[in-house]
Amino acid sequence: MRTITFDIDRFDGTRSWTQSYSFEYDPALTVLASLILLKEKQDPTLNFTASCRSAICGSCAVRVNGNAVLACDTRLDTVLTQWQSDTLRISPIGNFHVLSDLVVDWSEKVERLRTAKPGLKAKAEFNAETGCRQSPAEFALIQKQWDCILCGSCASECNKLTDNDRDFLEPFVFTHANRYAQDSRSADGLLHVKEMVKQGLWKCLHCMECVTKCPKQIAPAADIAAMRAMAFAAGNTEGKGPRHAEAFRTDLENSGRLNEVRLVPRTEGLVDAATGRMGFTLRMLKHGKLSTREAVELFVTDNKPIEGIEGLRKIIRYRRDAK
Amino acid sequence: MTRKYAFFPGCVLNAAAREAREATEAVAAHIGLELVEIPGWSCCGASQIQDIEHDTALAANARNLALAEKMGLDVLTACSTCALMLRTARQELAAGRKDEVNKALATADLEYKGTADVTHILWLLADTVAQWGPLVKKPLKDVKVASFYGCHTVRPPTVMTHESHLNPQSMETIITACGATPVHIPERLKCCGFHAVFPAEQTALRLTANAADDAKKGGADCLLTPCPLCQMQLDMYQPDAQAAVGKGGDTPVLHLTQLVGLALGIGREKLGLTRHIISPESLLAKC
Amino acid sequence: MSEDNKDDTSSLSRRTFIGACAALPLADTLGSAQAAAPASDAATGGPSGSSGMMSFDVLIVGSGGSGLRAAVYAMRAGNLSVAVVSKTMPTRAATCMAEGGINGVINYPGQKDSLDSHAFDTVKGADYLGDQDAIDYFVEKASEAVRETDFWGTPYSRAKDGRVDQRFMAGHQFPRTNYSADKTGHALLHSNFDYALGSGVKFLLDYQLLDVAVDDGICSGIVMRNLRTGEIVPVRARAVILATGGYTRIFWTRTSTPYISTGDGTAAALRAGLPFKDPEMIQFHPTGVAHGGVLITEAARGEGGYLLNNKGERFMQRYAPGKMELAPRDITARAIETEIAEGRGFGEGMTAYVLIDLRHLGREKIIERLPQIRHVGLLFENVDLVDQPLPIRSTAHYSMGGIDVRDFRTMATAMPGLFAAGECGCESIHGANRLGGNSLAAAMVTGKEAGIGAAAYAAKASMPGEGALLRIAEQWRERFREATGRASGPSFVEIRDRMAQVLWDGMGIYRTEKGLTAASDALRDLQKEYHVAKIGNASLVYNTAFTHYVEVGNMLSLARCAVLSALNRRESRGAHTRVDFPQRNDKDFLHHNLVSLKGDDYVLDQRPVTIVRFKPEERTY
Repeated sequence: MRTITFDIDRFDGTRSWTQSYSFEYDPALTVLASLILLKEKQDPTLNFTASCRSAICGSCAVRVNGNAVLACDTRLDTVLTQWQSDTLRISPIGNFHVLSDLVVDWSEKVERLRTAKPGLKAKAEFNAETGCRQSPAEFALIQKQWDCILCGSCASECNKLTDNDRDFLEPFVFTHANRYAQDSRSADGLLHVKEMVKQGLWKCLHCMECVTKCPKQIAPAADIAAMRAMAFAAGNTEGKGPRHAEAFRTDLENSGRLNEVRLVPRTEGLVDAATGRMGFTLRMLKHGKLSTREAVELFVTDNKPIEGIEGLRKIIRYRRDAK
Repeated sequence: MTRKYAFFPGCVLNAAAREAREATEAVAAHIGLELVEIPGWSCCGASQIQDIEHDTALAANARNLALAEKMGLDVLTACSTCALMLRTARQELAAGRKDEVNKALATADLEYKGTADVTHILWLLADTVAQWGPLVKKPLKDVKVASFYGCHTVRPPTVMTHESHLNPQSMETIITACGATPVHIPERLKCCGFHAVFPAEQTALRLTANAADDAKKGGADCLLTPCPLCQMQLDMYQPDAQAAVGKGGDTPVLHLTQLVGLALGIGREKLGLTRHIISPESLLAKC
Repeated sequence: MSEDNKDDTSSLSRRTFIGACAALPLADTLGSAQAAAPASDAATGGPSGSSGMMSFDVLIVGSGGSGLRAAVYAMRAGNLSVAVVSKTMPTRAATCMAEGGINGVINYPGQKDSLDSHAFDTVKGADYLGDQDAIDYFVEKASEAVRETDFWGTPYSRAKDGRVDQRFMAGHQFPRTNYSADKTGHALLHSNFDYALGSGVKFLLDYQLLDVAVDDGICSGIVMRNLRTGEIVPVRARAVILATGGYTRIFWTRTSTPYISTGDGTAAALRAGLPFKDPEMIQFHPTGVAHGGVLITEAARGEGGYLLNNKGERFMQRYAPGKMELAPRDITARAIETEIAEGRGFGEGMTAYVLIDLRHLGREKIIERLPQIRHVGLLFENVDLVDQPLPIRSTAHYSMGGIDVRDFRTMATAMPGLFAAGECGCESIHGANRLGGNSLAAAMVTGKEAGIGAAAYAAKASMPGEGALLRIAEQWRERFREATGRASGPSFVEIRDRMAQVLWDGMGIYRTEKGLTAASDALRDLQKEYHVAKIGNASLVYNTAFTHYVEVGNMLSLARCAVLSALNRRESRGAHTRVDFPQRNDKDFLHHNLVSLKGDDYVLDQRPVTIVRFKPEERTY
């Protein structure tokens, strides 16, 4: 008989502890079915949420060894193989307030979803009596984002949220905002983007956890990127995030390579960079990361253009004109 | 072992992380890897250009790949973000954008065919341990090394396909082959914050501090990373992180190829070990 | 948001950026409903009574498709305090599981569809047990609902000319099922949730409905349990809308529906004195996986799958030689049960099964057209459809029966102040059998009408008294203490499983006098055991064991109603098949059954079906 052990992080409202449960291996089990088995046969005090058990309601996301999975959609065999172990740590998903055991608080997240200004604000040519028109291609632009089941897996290991959720939002909120931003029926997609800029759109670290964890293969990082592009094109060019990105783009066209010395003042502004980064810069020079001569040269005259820079510029211009 | 690659150094290997280039080239030469720099390669976009002008970045990377194809070689990078950008571009081009992007490339007499694979020096070293392991002259037997993979080395797994993103072992394999002892830290798959160190500075500093502190608490002599961007963040900003958060501040951060170089007995002057902000002296004393 | 990270990315280039984002008025003014988004916090509410009791003008219980629609419309009335109470996060409702589409006649140029045709198809589909006036109203409103939800943002699949695309569903004469890929329910639930959020609807999450309170003959509010703290909370309301979904979970493991479909509102309405209409009318979908009942969509048969018995025969030959596997759902469901009953199935008991075989389609076609089913097969049966056939059996799928709604324009019940919308209500639109695509339509329509109706009522009604609420709340506190304090007793989970077995055997697809009588006796005994069952968790904090105990109690009660009603309907009609009375008998049974609770007794009554234009005819396809 093969025994599987779940070490489950428990919380009863006051006390936290980890409790070990063992059960007999069965290849037909999913992670959720295992939890139900434990609850119904061993411990009725174990709490978790589940509803559809077929990966469409988003109720049952939990962490296995610190990484979010949709419990009903994950075979026990899969996680046993991934971790090369018959003992697994089960915890509530990260970046949520825990109510009890594996049950997390969604009320707070509901309020955060409101910041994306959800609900279509349709173009004036549409109304409630006639509905809207949209081409199949336009529908395809938003179809993936509408697969979101609000399971919270994308938020669970988000590195930015884990550090500080007061100036950032859950990746699913960004996805919700972008699906209205890109919806051809929207009168003004920027309405949603503008809110997301205020809520930390430019603070995403690109850690790719959201893309990795989504059980529906949605890429919230791509939604963040799309809104950054929309914001930038609409004039959101000030601020460190936009200026940093713009510096790379300009460098690409100017010389084909990043100018690291100019990057800082271009991102932060000359005065801020000069004052705020003085210690940092001196350290760099002192430790031989950069020589003074080199730094001055790069600042004044930029990188030597790459071989074939003209070709690269032609390519870029061609793509821009094609838009 | 002999293998020839079209080398894509990436911007930072030419400037602020020049020591990574030196170490990569020294290790390559030592173990019989021939690296031929792609003539006229451009910045990969670094996930920054991708965010504001996606097609420009895609086209630039299609050009980079086309240049490598002209050399008849697969691409080798030593930077995880470069690897992710190039591999993502390959997938997008294969998913239906090739013809359209080739129209742009044609204006520069280039054509993207999709034949050049893109690999990372980390994967190559991990896969060829049997070949270069015997060349280790100075096993680092007193050295404890905490691996810090870096987000783009393992995520998303649909692009960075080489190993498990939940439980990768390539660095541990290499560390062991160098004779050193791997130290597991909780932060090993977390983010260093590099890509948002300007707009989200406090977050990046806290992430930096956590990683450095974790390594120290785990008894590691250094952090090791295959991505020069992580190395720069964890090294260059460690004093700032210490000042802001009160953790870290003296944990040396090595590039992957520097550790391998040390184990192979390559001269220290060739590995750029004097260009670190956090001094690796304490570590080197044990090598 | 606080700026822990000092940077200036939030400062926008005012000139260009803000100018480009001029705030747009919503085309439908939401008026005062556009108040600042209130916190989802228990302590706030409308004007409170002398005891500080929470009060609302309109209280909606249940946050699925119909509850969300009701909430938005209740808020549009303006100047009313409105809240949605839900035992889960809203998007966990059964609405999200519906796949096929939402019916609504749009009648684009060149089409020949009509409201009349939709009405007829629905009446016939209901096997003439649907109320035709309610159905006429429904089809007109369904047509409006599709266009309105498009306007609210539902991501419908599109035809080439940009209109909402439509597909054929069984039992309809024209393609009028508007859809969003294979996830129309999910699309509707999430777009309605988004719209409710944007409209400022207030949500009270993690509250379980315990009872509806009746004070002096009118509905005075509800008593609910705060799952997080265990607190029993009475809430006064001028109007209550129950939108709590169906009760198909009485079959527990042989149902396609979510764990939460336990009929809580229907049971509460029953206890409050309202009749439960047509409770025996439960739809069985022919193909659910053998272990757990998750749906295998009709598309599996549509793409060419074979149904096989233990002899390897395509047994549909025996039941529908013309259509074979593409025969209507009830015929196919009955065929599967017959094969199993006559020993040509696999396994035994609740997990007996036949096979659906798709191997001949080939690996590529399965991966391209049926990836979701393949995924389901691997998850639930550990079977890869590419290499092996999949064990399936019929599964309880939808509750046509429900709370007796008396006014199909407002969703009002016979009790002033109490309304019912969605699957928990019975108007009756679906009669003895629901057509595909009509349940999402009914959710959208009845939800909206209930919201408008309840708001209109609340605007004129006075805030009711607190007496009944306080009494019921105290009873529940005592019940919680007593129930969770039991040191020993039968397991309520086992009681639940036995209930499911008893019902599957006695009130499944094929019903007999003997089987139903046995089921009736067994359920009575189970209910007795239930009252002394052990719960095993006395905690106040998120006690899901007690939550489920309440749900099981509700299901036992509803099951008893259903069995009584099935016993007394000595005919076969729609989803209700009596082996001993295989014909439909309009002369004696063209009526609704109404089961009421009088004290501890379940009492049966009848009400005629409303016939308008369509005289009952033989139902053949």
